Amino acid sequence: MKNHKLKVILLWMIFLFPLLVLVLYSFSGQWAFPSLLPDTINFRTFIYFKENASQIFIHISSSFLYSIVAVILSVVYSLLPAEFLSRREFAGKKIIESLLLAPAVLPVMTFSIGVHLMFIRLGLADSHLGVALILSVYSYPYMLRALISGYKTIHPDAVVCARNLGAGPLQILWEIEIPMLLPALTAGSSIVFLVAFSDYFLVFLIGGGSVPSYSGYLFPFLNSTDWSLASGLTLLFIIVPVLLFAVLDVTLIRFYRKWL
Amino acid sequence: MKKVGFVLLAVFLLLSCQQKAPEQQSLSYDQALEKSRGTTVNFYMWGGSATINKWINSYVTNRLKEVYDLTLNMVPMDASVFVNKLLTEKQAGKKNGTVDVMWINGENFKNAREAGLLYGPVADKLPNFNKYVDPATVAFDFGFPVENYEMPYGRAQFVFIHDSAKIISPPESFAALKQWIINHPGKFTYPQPPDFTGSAFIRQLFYATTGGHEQYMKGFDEKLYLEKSPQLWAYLTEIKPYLWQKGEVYPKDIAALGLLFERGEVDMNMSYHQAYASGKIIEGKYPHSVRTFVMKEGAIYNTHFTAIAHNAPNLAGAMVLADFLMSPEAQLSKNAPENWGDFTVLDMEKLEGSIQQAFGALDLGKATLPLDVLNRHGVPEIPAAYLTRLENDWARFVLEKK
Repeated sequence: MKNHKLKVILLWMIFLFPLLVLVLYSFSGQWAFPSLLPDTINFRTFIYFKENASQIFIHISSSFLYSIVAVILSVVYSLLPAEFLSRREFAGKKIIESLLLAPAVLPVMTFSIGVHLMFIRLGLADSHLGVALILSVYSYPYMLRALISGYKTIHPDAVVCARNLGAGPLQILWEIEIPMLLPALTAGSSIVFLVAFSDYFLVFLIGGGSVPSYSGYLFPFLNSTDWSLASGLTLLFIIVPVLLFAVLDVTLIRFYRKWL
Repeated sequence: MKKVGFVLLAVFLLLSCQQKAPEQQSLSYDQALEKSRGTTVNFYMWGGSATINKWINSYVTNRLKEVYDLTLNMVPMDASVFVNKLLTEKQAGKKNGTVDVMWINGENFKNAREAGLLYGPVADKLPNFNKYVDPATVAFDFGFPVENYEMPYGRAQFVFIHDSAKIISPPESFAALKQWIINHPGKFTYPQPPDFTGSAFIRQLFYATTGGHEQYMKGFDEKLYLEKSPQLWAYLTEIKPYLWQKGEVYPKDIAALGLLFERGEVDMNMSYHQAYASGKIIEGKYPHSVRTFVMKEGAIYNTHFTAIAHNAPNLAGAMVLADFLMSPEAQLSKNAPENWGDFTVLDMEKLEGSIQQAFGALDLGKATLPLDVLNRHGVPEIPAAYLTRLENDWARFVLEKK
């Protein structure tokens, strides 16, 4: 029991300690060797937040928006292939599966440049939709993997049974499969959301600055000497996914209560 | 990785671009004033300084709205990135882009100009340029002719930074600097070229160790370069064992060096912005005892510019913004260290008396050297071909040399 407690404390330390450093940096003025704590404290970061609140809000909400759309798109791409790949056996299945995972494995540069030219011609560059599309293409493999495992947990008989009782494909999807896939969907969505929300390069390339992104807003500060602002903005960056996951958790628990 | 990718991308795109003058809309400044009312203009600029961002997002944005009914949208992006973006757009034939005005100079300007990415000539159509700027002072950008494709925006000069509480009398020449470094092992280093500031540091040293800048002003001369550059490499390899981390590694950029200085790991910092240290004192990051100094052999200065994209979606707004940034009012506000501390590009003799006095009365901050000291030590930038060569050879002759 005691050993267990130690592990928990250690885990918290590993995850909270870096955040603590960020908090300290947000408040720090001068901080030079050999001081363990900042030599001077100021609230410049918070004044900056207050003065630039609208800018920061626009960038965060834009990032949030295209990330959510990317999640939805990735579900759309992945549902059918996931069902197929989890239920059927056929020659070359492994090859198809690995090909479908390619976007997550290949270097981003290799396909993004070509896609960028294509998007410009199609008028999708510099638009929210374009950004959401490219992010979903880049990150759907995570959703696909999760859904394949999810489908494997649904017994084929459950579907057969529903069909015998007269349910159509849509009804089966909505009333049988989706509820049973919820854990897999949540896992997949979380990863896709995180990948999309924290992506810098693709959003910059395709969004071209017309699509505000929080990572794009943050990046110049990370590259400057202003670690106070960089730390403060990074802490804000963490809040969004954490809040989203908290909301997701609560909603899921409520759903399950209703069903069980 | 990304940098390599960008460079490759730029090379491929350059190869595939034909140099053809784009069809351009022509607009007088008065038409632009009329047409830009109620529109939005996109300003693409480096966004890594909270102070500069604030100046743009408050002062410039508010004044543009009040005076011209023009909405400013600042887009933070590094210059090399938006130049690449424009290249790709050009290759794809995109007529209506997203960039209106950009903050640019040096190699990025040269690349953009050679690939036909800029709108112009336009500077001579803007009233503030004609009224207050001496064109001779802004004819070249790193040795590359500007030809009115850029509007001067500000002037910056290279200074060294030290804490006067730690170093009472900083070295006054590069020879004295070498002695200081040897006497204080581990307390000095410079950012690794091609970092902007690190590269400027070795350029200054190149002037200082080889007998001045005049000989290099005529453009790249291979023979001269091969004859002179060994003296620079000799200096740098000589100080190498006494640098921070024994010269085995260098800070990857000026931000990394800045942090080492803030944390007290090294005793000297440098900046290609004369008022940087004063700004840091105002921000509370540097102790009040921090000061700046220049070497008696000279301190490089350069002019940075704004330019308009060839496919600017709001050309009228772009012209109004570019003109406003050259107005005495904006230049004066930009010159105050709490706003930015960037020096003006305007010709003092062309300004009205009251504005002249206002510039004279500016408190530049106690860490900023007086104007006459900076002016006395000013030496011009080297032509871009030397710059690239020095950066490449530095890796060969200094970094990789055991």
